Amino acid sequence: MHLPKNISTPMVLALGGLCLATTLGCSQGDMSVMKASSASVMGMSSAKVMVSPSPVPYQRKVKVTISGSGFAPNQELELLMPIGGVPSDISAMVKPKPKTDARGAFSTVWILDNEIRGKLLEPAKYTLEVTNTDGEILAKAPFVLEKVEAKKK
Amino acid sequence: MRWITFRKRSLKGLALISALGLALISLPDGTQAASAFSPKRIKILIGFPPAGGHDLEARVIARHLPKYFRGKPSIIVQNMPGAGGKIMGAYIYNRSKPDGTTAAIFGSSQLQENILGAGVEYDVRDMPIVWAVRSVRVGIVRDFLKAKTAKDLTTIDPSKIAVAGRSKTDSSCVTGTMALTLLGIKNFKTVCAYAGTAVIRGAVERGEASFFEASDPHFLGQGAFVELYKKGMVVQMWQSGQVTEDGKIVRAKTVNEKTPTFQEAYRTVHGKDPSGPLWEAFRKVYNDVHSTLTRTLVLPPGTPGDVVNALREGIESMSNDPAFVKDWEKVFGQEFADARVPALEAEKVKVELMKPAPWQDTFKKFVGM
Repeated sequence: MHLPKNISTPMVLALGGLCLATTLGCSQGDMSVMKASSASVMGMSSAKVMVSPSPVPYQRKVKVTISGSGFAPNQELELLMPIGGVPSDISAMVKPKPKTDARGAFSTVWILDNEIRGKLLEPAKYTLEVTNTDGEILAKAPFVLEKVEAKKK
Repeated sequence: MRWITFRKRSLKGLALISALGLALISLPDGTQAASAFSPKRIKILIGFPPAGGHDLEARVIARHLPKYFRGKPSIIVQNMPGAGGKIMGAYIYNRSKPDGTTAAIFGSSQLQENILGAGVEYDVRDMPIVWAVRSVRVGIVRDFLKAKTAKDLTTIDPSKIAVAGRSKTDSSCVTGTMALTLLGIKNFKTVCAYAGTAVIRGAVERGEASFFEASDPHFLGQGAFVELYKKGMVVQMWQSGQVTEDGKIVRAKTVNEKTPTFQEAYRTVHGKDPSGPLWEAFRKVYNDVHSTLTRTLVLPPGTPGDVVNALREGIESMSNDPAFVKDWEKVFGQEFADARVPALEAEKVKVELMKPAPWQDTFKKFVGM
């Protein structure tokens, strides 16, 4: 279980208890929420990140646009998602590489394929984190994967 | 006298601090590593898309490794696909800080490309190995070729055989081409530009590729070819087998026991044991490069020795953790003890393989390097 240093023990117990009470165990998605909570404790900047569409249909080759604003100009960013229960940097799998323009904005596309085929991602609520290259969280957004109902013939 | 008292107290204090320190680094549950190495995060780079063998290996390690370092660093997996792993290889070799915060899963193809001098921007000789696993190679064909044995394969229209791989110099394209050549098959096709095993699996399923040199984990646990194998869409032709202590090659228990070793397959085709320079080169490449050093976790060149040792110790502790072993075996469907190659043993094998030898000349000539 990875916990940020600035989460206090009572907070951990409270969040842990919440996980236990609500889901009978913390999933990776819950962990990310806990991590993101720590970012808000630290005080976030005006940076924002958006995921589109939302929710994201849980199907192979789905295109997801990740865009953001309010970041430092010309800043290299990292996009972190829990994949297969492990924090994963998806920055080298999105196009173009996540780097802000002169106005501190960016937009990039992620095509999910093997993550779904290999069941490394399941229909669930995850948290996408945007960090700088030192790993400091700058912004976060929910990343909801929703099962697509099969069309009736 | 005063000074002596002070010294005594200081020494007592030092002894206490040392004792506490030792206690911290040797807790019975192994939650502290014996080193001052305590990064906030460690990135493991993968040269292929998610869900392939390299990716799954990295994710299992990432789930368990944090507790073996002080501060329990986040282990972040980063897929950096492209050019058969060469982009990632060049990145870690040339751009990653050699401070233990970045490691990469290298496949045997990366080692092979260095042997070939394939113009890659990395040199495995400079990159310390901190983890290694072996595997057994398995030559597979699509069912529509209607070949159940190597002998059948020699009788079909060779233009229907399309060897899949990640690059001209990757493990599947090279060993597949060598194996088919040794069997006397000519004029088959090669499609050696797929992004990774997960993508090749799709190509095999679609029938775009009909031959692939896989490894046994692809047929076990969550392996890429489990489903296609169960459905009967792919047929195992031969396996690299396991090399016994006396140098014999025998069938490996992780592969279907009916799948012959390549030598056995060769005998059914030619009626005699394989021999000659091409066979010697093939044996080195098939059994040593691709079987013994299937996947390694390597560090950038210039990583300090104490950091290398700290990572090796942490990984060693993790490898003895029943929870890790259980997780690894669940993912790969084979016994971890059979697959594991201690880091120092892997280093020795690598050094030996990189020494100039006649088999390398044959190998380079065959590949056209």
